[in-house]
Amino acid sequence: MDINMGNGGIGVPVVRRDAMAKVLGVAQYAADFPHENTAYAALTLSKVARGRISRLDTAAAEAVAGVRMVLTHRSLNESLGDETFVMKGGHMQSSFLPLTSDEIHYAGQIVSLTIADTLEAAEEAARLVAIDYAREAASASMDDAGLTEEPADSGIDVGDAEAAFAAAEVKVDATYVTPAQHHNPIELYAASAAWQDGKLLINLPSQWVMGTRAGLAKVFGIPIEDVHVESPYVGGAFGAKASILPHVVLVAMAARRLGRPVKLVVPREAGFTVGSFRPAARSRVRLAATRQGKLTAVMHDEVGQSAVIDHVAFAGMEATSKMYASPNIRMRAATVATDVNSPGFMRAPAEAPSFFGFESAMDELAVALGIDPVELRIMNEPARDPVSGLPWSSRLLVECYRRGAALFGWSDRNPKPGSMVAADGTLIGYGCATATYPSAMAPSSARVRLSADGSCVVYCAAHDVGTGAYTVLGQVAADVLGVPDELVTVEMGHSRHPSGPVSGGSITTGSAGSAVHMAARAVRERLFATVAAGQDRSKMTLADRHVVLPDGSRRAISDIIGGLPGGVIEEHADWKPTDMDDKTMQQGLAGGMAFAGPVGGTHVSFSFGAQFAEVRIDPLLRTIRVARMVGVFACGRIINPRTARSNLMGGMIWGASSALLEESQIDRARGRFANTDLASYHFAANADVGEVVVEMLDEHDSVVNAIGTKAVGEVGIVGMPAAIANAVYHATGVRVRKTPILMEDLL
Amino acid sequence: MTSITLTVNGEPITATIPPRLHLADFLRDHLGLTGTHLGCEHGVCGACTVRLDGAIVRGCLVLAVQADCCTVETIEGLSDSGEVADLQHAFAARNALQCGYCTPGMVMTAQDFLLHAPADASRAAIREHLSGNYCRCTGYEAIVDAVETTLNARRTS
Repeated sequence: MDINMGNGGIGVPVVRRDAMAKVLGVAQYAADFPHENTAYAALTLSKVARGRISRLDTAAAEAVAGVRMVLTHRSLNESLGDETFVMKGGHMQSSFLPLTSDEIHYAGQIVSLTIADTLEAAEEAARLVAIDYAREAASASMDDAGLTEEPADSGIDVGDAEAAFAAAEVKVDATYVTPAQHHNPIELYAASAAWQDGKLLINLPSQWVMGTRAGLAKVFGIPIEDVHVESPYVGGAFGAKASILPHVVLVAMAARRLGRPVKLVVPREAGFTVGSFRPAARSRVRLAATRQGKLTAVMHDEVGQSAVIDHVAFAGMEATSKMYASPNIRMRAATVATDVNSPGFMRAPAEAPSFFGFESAMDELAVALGIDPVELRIMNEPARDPVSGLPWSSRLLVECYRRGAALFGWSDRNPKPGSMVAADGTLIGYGCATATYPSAMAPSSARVRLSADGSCVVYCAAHDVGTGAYTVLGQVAADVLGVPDELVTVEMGHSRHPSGPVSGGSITTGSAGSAVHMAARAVRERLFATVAAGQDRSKMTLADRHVVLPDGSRRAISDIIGGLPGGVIEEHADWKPTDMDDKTMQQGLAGGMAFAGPVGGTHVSFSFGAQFAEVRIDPLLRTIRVARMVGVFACGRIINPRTARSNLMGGMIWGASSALLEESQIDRARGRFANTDLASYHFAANADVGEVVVEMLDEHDSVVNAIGTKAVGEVGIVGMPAAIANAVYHATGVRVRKTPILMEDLL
Repeated sequence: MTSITLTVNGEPITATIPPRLHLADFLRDHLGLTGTHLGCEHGVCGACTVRLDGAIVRGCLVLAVQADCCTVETIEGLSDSGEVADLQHAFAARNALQCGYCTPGMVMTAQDFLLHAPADASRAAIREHLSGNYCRCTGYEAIVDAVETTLNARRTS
């Protein structure tokens, strides 16, 4: 590892580079880009969950003044390139593209796209598209009768967990249920497409401009270079904006046919089915231990909601199997196919539901054993990954628990449920849970340019979805090149830049950051070679816009670079994660999904955290408030404590929101999501949140990647729902094994 | 089509518009004031918050024709006049934004709070006032920090 800590780039809480653009309202999101002569689009959605379109009449819609086109399965009538579902190696949100047949696979499926000169005309006409359906019975809930469970993988087996469980002295066997949820970023899905000379320019909020480019090129049968995807600012994503949503293809198609730019902003309600969602899940967790608290068997069987049109399995047992030392481990995942839009990635897709059950079960075991829940976890800390036997690249979970317990005041906890009561009768509960998230990596390119005036530009087709990547990637370059952060510019969110990875799986800083680090080091090498050929470069340093030579003399960067042709030094780098072969790397750089880790050839990399919650419950009404949350995390090197803290804090608030508020309710009779707007899909508002304390441990990981960073973006949510459920049990003695935990669950 | 005359960010505007046009769409699509964002289109999320004759409203729940003969102020207007410069700097300094999409509406609502709040307003009062503006990222704690910082600074200045 080679980190220059002298210039303040890495580890400094630099203020977000994009902060002023955002507070002034000048940051341009997808729907803000003006295209001349834009036509507006509006959607019509299926009212039934399964069947076929039996009658379609667009005459009334087409008669509305200003309507230019009504795109339906009849009028689309064009073969598209064979592009597929993101989890089958493609880039699409679903393997089924609406308007390519008369089939209805889920309620809220797009059945027409109406284009008009004004938004108002398009919306009026979209309501006039007349459709009758030949309706078939549908199941949108995995709890419907007659559905079968299909095994989703071959499972994980260490030792003989069934036998150990049967023979154990103390055991827990319980099932935990989590509902479907929707991401609901505040920025609506949108797409604005314009064609010029056979080239497509598309503005959309994207976590994956390179993947979107590759996918659209394939769909439209044009060279990848002829697709330009632009997404400089994204108004929240959380996994929702990674793969290509169906409306994006349809908007681009309409724009090509009309020979005119077309813009669609997907209304909130439609977003529930045009986009993806977190599927419902059911975890059966069995834990066995000696009376002293040593785990002897860990078993986790999870059944997740999938879709008939796409098989999706998100079970988080790769992570739960690695949490604690046990000689016997057995993990199984299964799915139930339902008539819904394809589920997708939502913040900690596998881990968040799985850890609600798993970490609730650990609390139940602690109660059964009469052992403090923090101590139970610490006494079962594994020295190595209990599944692969490999060492951790770094793991400071015990330290997280010790520090978190001290910050929270855990020692004040009386373990007896219902024993802690405020003066006004309010019941107080303390709970804790473990959080973890895999530190995977993806290949990435980057280009770094250093100019004679000392300014530096970083180019990478990565994305800042609110995480702070604009700021953090610049800090990495500033650190290597010894330039002040204010002289660094970062250009991202456009497919013309050097290839960047999908901004999913908490990989951006480690992957794109490693590529920026590599490119910046190449710039530095050239600078050194230019100024002093033949001298020992290992004894040269960069500081304050000067090269410091081995003899201590200084040469200004402006003099060195000013004398070069072009007046700049610019270097490109292609970074490859350890343990990834070249072919996979090239596929990744070409816009494919290519991940390495978290289990590598020599080590296993996860971020860890200990999370604590204090709940306050009204003794009569049973209303639940999260008064305090404390999270202590070990996520490797923190490039920017300010932005990392806000990611972790946002994740914790997501966790509280998930524990107490969020559920996409399913109308089982009609086979559809019922609460498809922000008035009835509840998530945390400001007044729902109490005090939030976040701390990051100083953790050095020299093997995970070139800059020593691990996953930050998603780990914050993972343990919070269980910590809150455990606190609710402590306050009331009522064990609630489902989320959201509602007042009626405590009556 | 209907003709309206109004003042937007201090500038007199006359426009001929369809009566069913929302104020937020009028500001964004007709005047190019895209700092006003749309998040739910039915008055819940607060991203489209603007000032209409001095009071904050949801731009998605007001028709443009209802703003006839009125004064409308948006994030662009408040930025240009410098009215919220201290608040905007506090948002940046306290990292009270991530994706930034809710931020203009949040600033509009926070300024409304600051104009009307007692000097000793509590954090709970700030939270309550801002609870009609969703931040999904979610920076609620830092947003309260930024508003509290501005409240204290304005009180002592």
